[in-house]
Amino acid sequence: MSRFPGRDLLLGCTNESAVLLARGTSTPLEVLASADLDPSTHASIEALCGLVAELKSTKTVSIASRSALSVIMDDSAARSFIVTPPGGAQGLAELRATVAARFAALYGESPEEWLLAADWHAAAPFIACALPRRLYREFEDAARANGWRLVCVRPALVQVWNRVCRSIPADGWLIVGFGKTLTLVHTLGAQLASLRTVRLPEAPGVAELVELIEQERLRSPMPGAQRDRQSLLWSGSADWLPETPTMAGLASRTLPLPPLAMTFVHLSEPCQLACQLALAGSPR
Amino acid sequence: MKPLSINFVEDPLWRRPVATRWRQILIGLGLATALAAAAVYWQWQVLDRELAETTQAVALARGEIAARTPPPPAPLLLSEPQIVAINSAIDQLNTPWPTVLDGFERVASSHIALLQIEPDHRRRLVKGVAEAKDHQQMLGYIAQLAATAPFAGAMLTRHEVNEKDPNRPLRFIFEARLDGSSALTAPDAEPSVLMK
Repeated sequence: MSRFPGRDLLLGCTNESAVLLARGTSTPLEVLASADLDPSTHASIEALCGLVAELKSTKTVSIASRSALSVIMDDSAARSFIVTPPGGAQGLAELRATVAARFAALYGESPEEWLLAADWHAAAPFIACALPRRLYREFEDAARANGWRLVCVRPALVQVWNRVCRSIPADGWLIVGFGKTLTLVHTLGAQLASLRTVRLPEAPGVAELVELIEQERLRSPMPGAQRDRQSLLWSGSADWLPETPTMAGLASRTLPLPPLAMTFVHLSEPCQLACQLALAGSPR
Repeated sequence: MKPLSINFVEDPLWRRPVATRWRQILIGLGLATALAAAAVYWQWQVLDRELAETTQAVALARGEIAARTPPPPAPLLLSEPQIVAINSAIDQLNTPWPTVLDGFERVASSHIALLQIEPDHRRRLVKGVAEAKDHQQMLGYIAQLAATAPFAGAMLTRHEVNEKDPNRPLRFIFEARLDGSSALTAPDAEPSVLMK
């Protein structure tokens, strides 16, 4: 029997950093390992794979084997998109082929090197996500090397969506912000309309966010009655999330994730972002 | 909005959701068929085992019965001469001696000496040897014997003078035929003649 039961492992990954946290019911949150890229190094999948590979040698004296490992990816490290199923789709294989075709059409890449997962639906648009297979194998190798159980690998969007799904407006936008990554999910009549991930050059101000929302509204023009029903829901851990009740003429609401504890202030900024992502994967 | 079911880690097969009702029905039918096949196979095994045990028990019982049962007696096979001899012996034993002797007693006289009587069951008669003083007495005896029960007739077969006897009696041999009612079998005698 394990001497340290009940400790879950949370791995947060961005393009520039990776942080492994241990979270238990009776023990404080602990940083087991952290790694970030040298500022001079170009962020890439290969660099992120290298960061994850460093976690294989994590000292896990206080972690029981077979501990559950959950990985939360920054939305800029994974790819998320909306897929509309073909009419009369029959079977999961047909939906998989549709997602692969949609991925190839959107990104111009072969889906062979990407791992595809989706909230499969045969009669309504659904969200699909793609993750480089090589990065996924790094997660598997790290878990296997330490005797952990890889139970979950998700983009931050999916994790935040599941946290706030009851509050997501049926007509409007869910906007998820982590660091400088912002993901907008447009809903229309309780169905998915569009999804877009924006990599911001720097932390945006309110005016920039308003401009962004205006642009989004222009991308999907609505009749007046429907426009009045639209609203915004902001969530994530970014410190620039607005707290105003209205924005760009729309009702706005913000459900931020819990802020980082002071114990993480010694970490670098990319590692703090990875910590925020990791904590997004923990239960409320 | 509903939660998203997106995870790059694929669930084990037994935790994946069943996509359609038809698949559920097919899985149910498959499980039911597998269970039925297993039950039939198990029942068949049980019956096969019971049949083997019963067959073995029957064979064992047959062996025990055969061991306890004495061997049947060998059939009595007699040859024709044996049967004839036995029948002859039975006929001789069944000779109605009291009736025959009563008949001879009734015709007995001081002038006739009955020396020997011998039944011939084949011919249904009694042979006799007697001596008389003369021919008249001899013929009278034969005639009297033929009229006396149980005889249906009497016949002289041979006669001669006994020269060895100083009185020179007339020795004669006769045959007295038995009537049908007495024959050679006594009325209360059990029929025990063996037939071939």
